[in-house]
Amino acid sequence: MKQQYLENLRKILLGFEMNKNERIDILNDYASMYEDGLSQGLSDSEVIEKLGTPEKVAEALNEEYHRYHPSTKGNRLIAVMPFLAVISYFILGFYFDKWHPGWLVFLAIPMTAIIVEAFKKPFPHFLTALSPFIATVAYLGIGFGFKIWHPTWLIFLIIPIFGIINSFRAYDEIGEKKSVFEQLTGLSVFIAIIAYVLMGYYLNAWNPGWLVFLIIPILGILNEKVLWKKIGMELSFLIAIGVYLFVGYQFGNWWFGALGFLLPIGFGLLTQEVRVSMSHGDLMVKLTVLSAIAIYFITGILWNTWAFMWMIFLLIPMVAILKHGPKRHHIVAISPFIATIVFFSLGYFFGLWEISWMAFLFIPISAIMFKG
Amino acid sequence: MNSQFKKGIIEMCVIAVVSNKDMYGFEVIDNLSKAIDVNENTVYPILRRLTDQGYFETYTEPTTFGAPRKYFRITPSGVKKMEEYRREWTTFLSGVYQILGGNQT
Repeated sequence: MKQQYLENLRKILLGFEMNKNERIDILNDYASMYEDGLSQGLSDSEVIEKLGTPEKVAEALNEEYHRYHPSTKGNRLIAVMPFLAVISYFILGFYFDKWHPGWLVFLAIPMTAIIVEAFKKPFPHFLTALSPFIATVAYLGIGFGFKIWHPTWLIFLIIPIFGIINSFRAYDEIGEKKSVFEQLTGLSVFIAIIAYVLMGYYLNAWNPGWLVFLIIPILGILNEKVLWKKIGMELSFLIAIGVYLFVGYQFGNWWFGALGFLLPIGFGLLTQEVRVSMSHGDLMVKLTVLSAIAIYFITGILWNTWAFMWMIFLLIPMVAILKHGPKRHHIVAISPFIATIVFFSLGYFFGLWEISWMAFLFIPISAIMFKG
Repeated sequence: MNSQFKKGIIEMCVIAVVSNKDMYGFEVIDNLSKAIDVNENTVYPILRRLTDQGYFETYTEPTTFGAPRKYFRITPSGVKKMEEYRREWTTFLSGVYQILGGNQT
């Protein structure tokens, strides 16, 4: 509750004319006052009533600080951009017969708005906001120019990567600084996907290339505070990987090799790092995780489906969102996963990379249509 | 009551409570809200502004339950400001009582 309060306040303060240190100072003061309230035996809602909701605090601070006001110059540029885009599009089309990829100039309209915003104030989400356009331009440029649609689509992963980097900055400001390993663990998911697809596509190493996903738990374990547990878990993972590769390559039997992973699972159970619980809320998510892993490996080993069956893992965050996320945000929250599945399936199974990228438009469309 | 007028009074009260004793933010809010009908969320911005204006200075003290607490302490110019406020307020109140025909104490 406290973190949510501070995070909401931080978001509102980003709209004020103040430097980062001032913002951090205010957030620290509110964190401290919140603690004081709790230490006096008040409940969260009583503390918030005492301090004021983030919106009310912002209203009061508004008299001391000024909100950013849009500069007229920047606004003019944003307003004129659609006309410039249309003119450029017609010039490219009529005079140079470049209707395609000339239509890309229309992407300059939202990009200009983002860049102008960035110059008007310190815009912490600048790269995150710009990343979809950078990714789209790069993707279409490389796709149309060199016909390398796959695996160029991986460039879309810069969107969540920038998003995660920004979220770490946000944690810093509300005093919840994440360690380097925690930050790397967050990013490792995407690094692993990129490495996995590149190894699979160029080296046909889908198996044992999937081992690269183990970088996620391996980095995650580095956050463990108890040294012997940390060393034990890391060693058990390395031994399991060694066994899997040795048995797989030496005897051609990956199934037996996979038994090596019983070692980190056993060690995790013994040290209670891995717990088996069947609480009702998480049961569906746990079943999805187990089913996804089972389907991925069984179909991979039996029918060599490594190249596309990774999409099954997208069901895990989707089920978690549907189970635990706020109902009114369900469609918006799962839209990136649906878009990715539609995009990759159209491209991979039907070779429609040239148009399948449009599936990503579902993300902003769903945000506009369904965000409450 | 006119909000600007009320804000002025709250500002005076904030200086007054801190002039009695060094206080941390929540303590100031708590003290004021017990004594007068105050919109609590307006107190912190006033504390912050008075600090920026040099009427308060701050220092931190460790706590047993979390991050160190920021205390506000009145400065010599804050004391001067308090005297100025007290003078103005007394003159103002005596004028008001005169008009209302009540006793001015």
